[in-house]
Amino acid sequence: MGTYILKRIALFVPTLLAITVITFGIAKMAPGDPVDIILGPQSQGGDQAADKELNERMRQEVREELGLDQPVVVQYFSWLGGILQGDFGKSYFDRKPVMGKIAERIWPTLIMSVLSILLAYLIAIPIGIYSANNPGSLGDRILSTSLFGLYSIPTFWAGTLVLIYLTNNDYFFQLFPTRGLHSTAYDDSWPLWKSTLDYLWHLAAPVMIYTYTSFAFISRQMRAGMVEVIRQDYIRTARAKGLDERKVVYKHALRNSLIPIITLLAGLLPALIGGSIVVELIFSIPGMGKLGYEALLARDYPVIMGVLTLSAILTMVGVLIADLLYSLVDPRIAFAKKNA
Amino acid sequence: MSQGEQKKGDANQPKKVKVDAVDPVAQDRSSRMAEAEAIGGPEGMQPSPLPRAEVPDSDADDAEKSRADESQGYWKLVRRQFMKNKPAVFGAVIIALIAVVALFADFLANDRPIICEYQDEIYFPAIRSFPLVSAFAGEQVLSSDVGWKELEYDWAIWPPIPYSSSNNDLDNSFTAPFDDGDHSHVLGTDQLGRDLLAGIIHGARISLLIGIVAMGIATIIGVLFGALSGYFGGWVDMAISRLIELFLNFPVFFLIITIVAFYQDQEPGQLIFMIMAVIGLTGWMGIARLMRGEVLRVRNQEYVTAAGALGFPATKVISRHVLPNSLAPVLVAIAFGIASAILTEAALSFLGFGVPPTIVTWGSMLSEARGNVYAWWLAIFPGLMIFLTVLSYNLVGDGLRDATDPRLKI
Repeated sequence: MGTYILKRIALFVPTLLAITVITFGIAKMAPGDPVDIILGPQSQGGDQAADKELNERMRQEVREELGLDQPVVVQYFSWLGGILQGDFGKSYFDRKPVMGKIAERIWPTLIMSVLSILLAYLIAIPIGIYSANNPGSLGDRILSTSLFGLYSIPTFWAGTLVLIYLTNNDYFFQLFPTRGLHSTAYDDSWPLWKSTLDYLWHLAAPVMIYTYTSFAFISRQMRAGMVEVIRQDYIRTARAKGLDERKVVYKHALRNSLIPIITLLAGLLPALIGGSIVVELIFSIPGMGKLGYEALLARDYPVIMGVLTLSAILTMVGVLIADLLYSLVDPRIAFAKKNA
Repeated sequence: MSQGEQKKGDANQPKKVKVDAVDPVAQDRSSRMAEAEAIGGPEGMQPSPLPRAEVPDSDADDAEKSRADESQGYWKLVRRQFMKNKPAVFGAVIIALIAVVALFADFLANDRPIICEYQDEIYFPAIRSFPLVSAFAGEQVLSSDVGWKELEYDWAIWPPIPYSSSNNDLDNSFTAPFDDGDHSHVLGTDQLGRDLLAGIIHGARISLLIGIVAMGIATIIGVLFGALSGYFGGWVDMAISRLIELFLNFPVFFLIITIVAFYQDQEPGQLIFMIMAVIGLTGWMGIARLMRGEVLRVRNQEYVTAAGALGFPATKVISRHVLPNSLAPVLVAIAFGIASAILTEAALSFLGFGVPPTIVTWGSMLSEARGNVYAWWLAIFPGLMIFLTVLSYNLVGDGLRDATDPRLKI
């Protein structure tokens, strides 16, 4: 078990390096000179020789300050060195450290992801259990068909529809707030329950939009996993000895069929983190996705690289945790991998 | 049924060896096997639950024909299973319809006649964008300030929707469906007065094209990597598996949008290709994984070992014997992959980073609704089209999966 964890963590390092190389490579290969982005394209050349020289000197200074005059490899390693110390450089625009900017924005995204995963599991697992125990029934068919339909609805469409129809009184009525994380009337003196409720009210629509596509995914796996388990001999034994059906399902079958569901977490996370950009933009939530979007619009390379790297690291950590959890509940996994 | 699949593989093999072989030993061996087969008849071994449509010709002399029939048997079965799946057939029909619309977009919605007679000359103005025949479009008739609509024709046949997707008409900005003077904007217009229905018709082209080309790229990479990884094992497998893992755990959408945003200033044509390439380059992992698993499963089958023992190079063994027998799950993955590529492109356009703004797409129309809450038609119709397309591909994928892998049926 211990060696398995160590092995997994050891594999984590090259993956992390690969992520930084990809991120850095993309930013470096992008067309356009970062100096133009900072100083504006008018800083190129000039009408008179003196202007030209002044501009060129200014550009050179910026270049040196950012370390852009050094070879690419040196740039990469100094950037990597910074990351290892938790320093992602400074924004091109407000000169604030990228790490600070991300720290400000990461909480809404993390809270939404965690809420969304909890909600998805809470709703999808019972559906999966029901479907597995009543295969082919009307309920099973209705549930799986509608979940499949739900799965095909683009999140950005659903989000736009909610935004248009449910956040104002033009068509129906205002069920959810239009934007942001706090009401306009919010102030720090609100009691905790009130501000929490307000926060949850603002998160309700985004989290729903964030979550609904996972339902079909999880409940299908749950159904398949449970059907598999129900065919096992020990379930037949449990039934044969006259055990209450409910006990058979919830005690004997459920536990074992929950195991593969844990690994689904690994598949959900990248989609969630990647999807945050759409949901946060529609509902104007100041999270990491929106930070990335704004940075992309402004071509703020250090911020873009920071968001990309950090979101990848976050996902990797999530996947690692899912893997470790998996090996914890099912020791056969670690054993098999060790032998492989 | 997987048994049957393998048998089908066995049945396939001798024929192919016979066709390709220059080696007389192989020739001899394969013809002997063919004989054995025609007599023993994998026909009887095939656990086909369904009666066959035609009685197969079991004449021993006509072994070649019998084998050809046999190799079609599996796909015939798949097709039959697929046809029984109503939702999947519905999906396939919708996709076909959208494809037809995309193909004939220029004749369905255009601001120029399909065919017209003007000053005793016949022109086909709608074919302007088609290569080779564009000379007959009669572009020379137009002067700079007169459009096709202002000309006085002897006669003309107009498309059912007399607007093209890029027709700006600022007087008719944000017209609700049927709300303009002559009720010709069936689904309303957007901010620039562009007809929504025309946009949806022309948007089908971009959507399908991006979905199919992106998935084509992903399929090539995925099949190649998966086959290499599964067939050779060892360090090749190790490296490719790591790569798959890396991309699978990466928030790929962030990556795609970053790359597309960086190259936003490219030419429209180049940008569209960029988008296809990026979606393809980040979408191959599922197929590679499947392919690897399938190849691992097939690799130790006797007919593959036999092909190797006969001295065929690995490339030939893979492409002739391993790939065809691993095709089914890959097809399923392709259908789902196209759905997700279309979704990704629409999301990119929705965020304003996709296809250039001069080209109307479903995603870009939908994104206009975000800032203009009262224009409900901009939110409903383009979104509905994306949903319908994605749903159809998903249904087809699901139907294919059920049809090709009955093990999944409960």
